[in-house]
Amino acid sequence: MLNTLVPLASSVISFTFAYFVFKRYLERKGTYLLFWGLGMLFYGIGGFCEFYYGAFGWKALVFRLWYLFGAILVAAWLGQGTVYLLAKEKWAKVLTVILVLGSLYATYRIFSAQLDSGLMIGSGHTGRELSGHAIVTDGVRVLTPFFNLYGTFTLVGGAAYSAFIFWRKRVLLHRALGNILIATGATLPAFGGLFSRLQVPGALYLGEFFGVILLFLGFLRATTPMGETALAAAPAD
Amino acid sequence: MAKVKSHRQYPPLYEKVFPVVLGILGVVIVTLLIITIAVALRLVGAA
Repeated sequence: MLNTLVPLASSVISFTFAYFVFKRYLERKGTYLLFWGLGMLFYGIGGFCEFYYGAFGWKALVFRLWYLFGAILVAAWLGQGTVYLLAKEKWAKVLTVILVLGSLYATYRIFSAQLDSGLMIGSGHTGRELSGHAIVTDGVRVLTPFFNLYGTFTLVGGAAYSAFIFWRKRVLLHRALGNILIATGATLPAFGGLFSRLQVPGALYLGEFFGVILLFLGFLRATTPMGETALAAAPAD
Repeated sequence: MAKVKSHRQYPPLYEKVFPVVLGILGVVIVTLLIITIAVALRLVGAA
C-alpha cells in the first residue's frame, strides 16, 4: 500500500490541483499560475511513476520520467511561479530562460543515461521505492540539488516571505494562512527525501503525499477570502 | 528605516501563532538550504 496507493493518491491530488490552477490561469492569465500548473503536472507525473513501479515493477522509461519530473523539475518549476509573483518581470523572464535551458539539458542527460535497477538495492534503500541510485552515468544525479536549491529558495522562501509580509501588515489573513500551508507543504517532500536517505521506509512517498495535500489546501485557502470579520480593528491608542 | 506597524490585528489565536510558525519556517528553510548545498557539494548522497 505504501508503495502503490500512497503515490497514486499523491498523483490524483496533484492532477486535480493542476486542473484547478490551469482553470484559474485561463480566467486570470497570470504567468505564475501557468508555472504552478505545470509544476503540479510534474508532481502528478512523479507520483504516477512511483505508483507504476510499486504496482508493475521496473521500466526504464518510467524511471526516467520519474527522475526528470519528480526528482529534478517539480520544485524548480513550482518555484518559478512564485518568482513571477514576487520578482520583477524582467528578472523572472531571465530566470525562466535559464530554467528552461537547464531543464532541456537535464532531459537530455536523463534520457541518455545508463541505468541499472539493481543499484536501487543498497545504500540504505530496499529497492521497493524508486531511487536515483539506479543511474549509472556520472554527472546526472549531481544536477538534482541545483534544481532543488532553486526550488526550495523560491517556492518555500517565497511563500514564507509572502506570509510574513501579509502578517506584518495584518492584511489578507486567508493569504497569510494559505502561504504558510504552501511553505510547509513544499518542505515535506524535501524532508521525506532526507529521511529516505536515513533509511526510513516510505518517508519520501509519505512526504510527497502530505506535501501535496498541504499545497492544495494552501492554494484553496489563499484563493478563498475569509471576509472582513476575520480582521479586527485594534483599539485606538 | 521606520518600522511598519499596522493598526489592524488578526484574531488573537493567529496573533500568537503566526510569529512562532514564521520563525520555525525560517529555521526549516535555512536547514533545507544547508542540506541541499551539502548534497550539491557531495558531502551527502543525492536522490
